[in-house]
Amino acid sequence: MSTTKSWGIIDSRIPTQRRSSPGSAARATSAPSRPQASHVVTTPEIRPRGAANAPHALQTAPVVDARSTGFFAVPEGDGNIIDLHVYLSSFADVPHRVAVHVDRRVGNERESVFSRVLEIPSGEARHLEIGDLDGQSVEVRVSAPAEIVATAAVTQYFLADGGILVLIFKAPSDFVQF
Amino acid sequence: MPVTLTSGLFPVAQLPAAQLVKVRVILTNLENQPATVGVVVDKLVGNSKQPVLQEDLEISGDDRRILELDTPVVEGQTLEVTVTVPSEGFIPGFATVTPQVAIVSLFTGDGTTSLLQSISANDFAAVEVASVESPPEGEMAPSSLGGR
Repeated sequence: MSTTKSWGIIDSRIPTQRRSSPGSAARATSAPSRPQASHVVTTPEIRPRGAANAPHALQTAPVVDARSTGFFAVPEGDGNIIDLHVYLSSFADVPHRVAVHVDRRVGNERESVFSRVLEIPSGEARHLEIGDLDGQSVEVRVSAPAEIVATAAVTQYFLADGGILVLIFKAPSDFVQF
Repeated sequence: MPVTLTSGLFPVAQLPAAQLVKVRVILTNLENQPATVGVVVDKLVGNSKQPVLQEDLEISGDDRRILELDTPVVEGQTLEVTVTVPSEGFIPGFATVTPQVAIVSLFTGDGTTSLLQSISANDFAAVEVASVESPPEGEMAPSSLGGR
């Protein structure tokens, strides 16, 4: 992997900005407990560019891509369960930290629904499942090195027969760099 | 030099018993020379990726190969298709074999097939595959988090 154009990042801990409606459900298969309104998550904070230009930073820090699906409409569930899934697959030879943010559009404003930083060991994967987004316009943003492949999907779970349909799939190429 | 292309992880539908779900990996050789392609299909189990198919295929020039994964292996699972294809073709740097994934349902009643989902060659992302050796426990890339 190229080690040019990289900048160092430090973590900071801020309270989550998730919407606090009672039905909202965000769950990660990697962490069984669901984040609550008071849950504390880590989000990336960017160091000044000058700091990243230090020679040691150029040699060690991997290039981090910020990628987004842009806003897309999540269909209504018609009484069935609609879930948004975010998948992160590692092709790296070292563990990486990845930031995942899901926003929804409220009028002309952007509102954070989910925000989490995950550590992904080499060759492993993570799956995030976020519910209660039926009929919303949402955006998935991922900050990760290029060796972490992000995808997203919207599924409909039919309570009657246990069937699952994939309504939307966002392939790696559907995430644009920004 | 070979190029590794991945679909990323994707969920596969789970349908009632009368409908069988199958995943087809379609590999098309765009050149008139034979090409050797590595195909790996992984299944997400917890946080790890477990291979359900690992195969090296030789595809004749101007030919196409279709690998079909059956219902018990794929239905309701999360899969990832990764192919390693040659890139030393007539146009240097371009993959000479293109991958595609089709998720289909087969109605057992009348034998008809429907396309549920398709992942085209354009949807695949090129990745650099990690070396086999894992880093020591606890080692992490120093500044692997960020964005704008």
